[in-house]
Amino acid sequence: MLEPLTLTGIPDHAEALRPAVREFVKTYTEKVPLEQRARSWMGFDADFSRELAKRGWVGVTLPKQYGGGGLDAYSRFVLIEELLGNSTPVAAHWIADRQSGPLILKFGTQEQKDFFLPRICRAESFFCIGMSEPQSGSDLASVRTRATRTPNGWKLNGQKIWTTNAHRTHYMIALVRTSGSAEDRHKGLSQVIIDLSAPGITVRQIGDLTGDAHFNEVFFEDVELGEDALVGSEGSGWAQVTAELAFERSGPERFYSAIALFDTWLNYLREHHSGDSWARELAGHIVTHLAVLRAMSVAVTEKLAKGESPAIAAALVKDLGTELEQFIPFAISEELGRHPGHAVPDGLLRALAYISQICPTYSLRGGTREILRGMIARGLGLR
Amino acid sequence: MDPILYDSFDRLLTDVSTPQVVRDIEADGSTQDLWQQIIESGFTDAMISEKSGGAGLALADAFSLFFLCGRHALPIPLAYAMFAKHVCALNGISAPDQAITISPLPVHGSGDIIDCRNVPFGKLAKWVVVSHTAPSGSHKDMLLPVSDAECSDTGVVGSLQAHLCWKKVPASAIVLKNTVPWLEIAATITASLMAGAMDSVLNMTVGYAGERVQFGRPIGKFQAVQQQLSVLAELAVASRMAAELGCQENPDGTPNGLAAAVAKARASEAAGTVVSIAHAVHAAMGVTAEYDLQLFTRRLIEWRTDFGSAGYWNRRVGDAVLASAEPTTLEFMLPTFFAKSGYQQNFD
Repeated sequence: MLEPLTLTGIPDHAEALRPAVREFVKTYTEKVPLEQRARSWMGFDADFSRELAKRGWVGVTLPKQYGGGGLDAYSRFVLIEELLGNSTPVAAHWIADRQSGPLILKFGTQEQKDFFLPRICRAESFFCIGMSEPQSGSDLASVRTRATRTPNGWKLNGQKIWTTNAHRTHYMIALVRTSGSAEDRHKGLSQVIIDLSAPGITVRQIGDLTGDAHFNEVFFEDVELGEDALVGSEGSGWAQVTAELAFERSGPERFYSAIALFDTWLNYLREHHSGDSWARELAGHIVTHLAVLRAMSVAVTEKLAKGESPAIAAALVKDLGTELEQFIPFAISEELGRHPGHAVPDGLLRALAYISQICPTYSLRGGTREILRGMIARGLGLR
Repeated sequence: MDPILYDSFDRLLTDVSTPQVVRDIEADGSTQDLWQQIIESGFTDAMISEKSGGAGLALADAFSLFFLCGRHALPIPLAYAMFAKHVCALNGISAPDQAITISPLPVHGSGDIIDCRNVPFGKLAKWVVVSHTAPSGSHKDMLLPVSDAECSDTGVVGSLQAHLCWKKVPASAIVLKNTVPWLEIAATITASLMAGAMDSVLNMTVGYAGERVQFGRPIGKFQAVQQQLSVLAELAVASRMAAELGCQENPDGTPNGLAAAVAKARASEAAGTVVSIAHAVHAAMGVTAEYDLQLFTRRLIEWRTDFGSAGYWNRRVGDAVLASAEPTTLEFMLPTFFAKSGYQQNFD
């Protein structure tokens, strides 16, 4: 059976971070139009990331000796809750901060830590994750991109796809096959760090339905990687990737993605007699769900802070959270559409259109609903 | 909550609130033995201050006890009585050691008549906490004795609810001068009972799916069934978290009405899906009188509208959000639902 999640508070030392972060993000949100903020953690702004880094807010959980904040999971929760709750563009450093940095810290060699971690903390090095391939989506263990041994390191051949921000990040941490074949499944997979400026790499952007292009196809043709490209031990890629996912699935990015839209809609209602009875109930419905998700997310953070890897609890938060994130645009468009003839501001409608179009990805990125529910079923002892 | 207290209460209810006891009480309303056993355990006084002879549990601590009452489908209003006895003690009144339930909203505009409809546990309660507004406009929170009320059955099989009606305020009414927001309290306690019942429903349904064999294997091996059970688990976990949140007091120790609203809205919304998935997985077996699932699903169906449905409480939260001057939901939510006090116990 599942271990219950217990309500827990955020300790004072972590809450102490909040006022300064909030003050800083407010100076940003004041001058950026809503439809840009609606991109939430898909919004890419390297300058913004560097401003955060200057204040010590990139890599807060990494040790101070590498330029990190030396803070715990609660502190990071507070930081990103303010960043995402105010819809700031964190995409540039997001992956490095959330996954790549902690991964290198945990599994990397001393040289890798000395090289990458300070660059991550200064927001100089941005990372992307190379997981999916044309024939490997949810069935991630079937990846075919292969690194083969050479006298000086590795030679990489293959292709990744749906790699977010590969065209504007510096490094990719990819899950690749280093031995055996696709039939060997979880065995023989490893994680490698790839410098995306290396010869033999072609990055091709894929436009999306909103007019943005964040996805990419990435082709590797005889790409030479050094001996030091391997992260962790050879053949442990699957276990390492699985450990990362608990960090990826339970945070505020799983319920605040559509918050800029929601807040703008609330302000629109406030300016128009606070909405009818149905609108008010709807607003309450969304807030009650958010409050519970936030409590659950803090409870998972407590487990992370204790060094546990609460993969199933995290899957549960992500599945429920993305359901709400997808409900928000649906509900708001339904509400606005109940009053034909009302003049709704263009900015609100543009944000609504953007989120309505892109929100199907909320429950794809980081594991589909079906995969997450399969994990929960395993936690229930059913498989 | 102290795990020793939690475990001892869980064991007590496992012994005294068996499915057979629940069925017997639903059939004839005779709760004497069960009450006696609970009184002897001392748990009726759990929320009374230690100074006054109780265990001094705050609402936040008592959450786990409410949860267990729901998990064992306890067929007496112990959870409501615990809180009512605590409020009586605050008023310097030693409440009777009898079944006390809560019915804060009598029918509007009944003049001197106090007409309480669908009172939870009304069939077997001896006292009811009522918020009464007289035609003169004067408002009183009182404990009214059921012995002075006209009691009528709701006609719902197995239900412990009753309609209770007092022609006027009886002389034996106990007035509570220092009072609390009873509707909110009753709502969050009920949300906690619901979370407990959902936990049992989840366990029973997962267990059944592991035993029932079709097409040569347990139905729980089929992905279509697994996905449904995962949703059930998500809703049970979320409802439990919501109920625990609803039981957190404000920093000044008063109940947090909006957190209670979150609790009841979330649990009531979840209950519908929880019940339908559980019954779908159990198929015909689940709706038989003999099988225990119905002891929980009938309660969930009743409890989801007791003290306000999801829509009622969502509306209350929505009104508060829209009346707020905070520019973002985050700035509204944190002080409203997550003020520090009441969480401190978890910090060490």
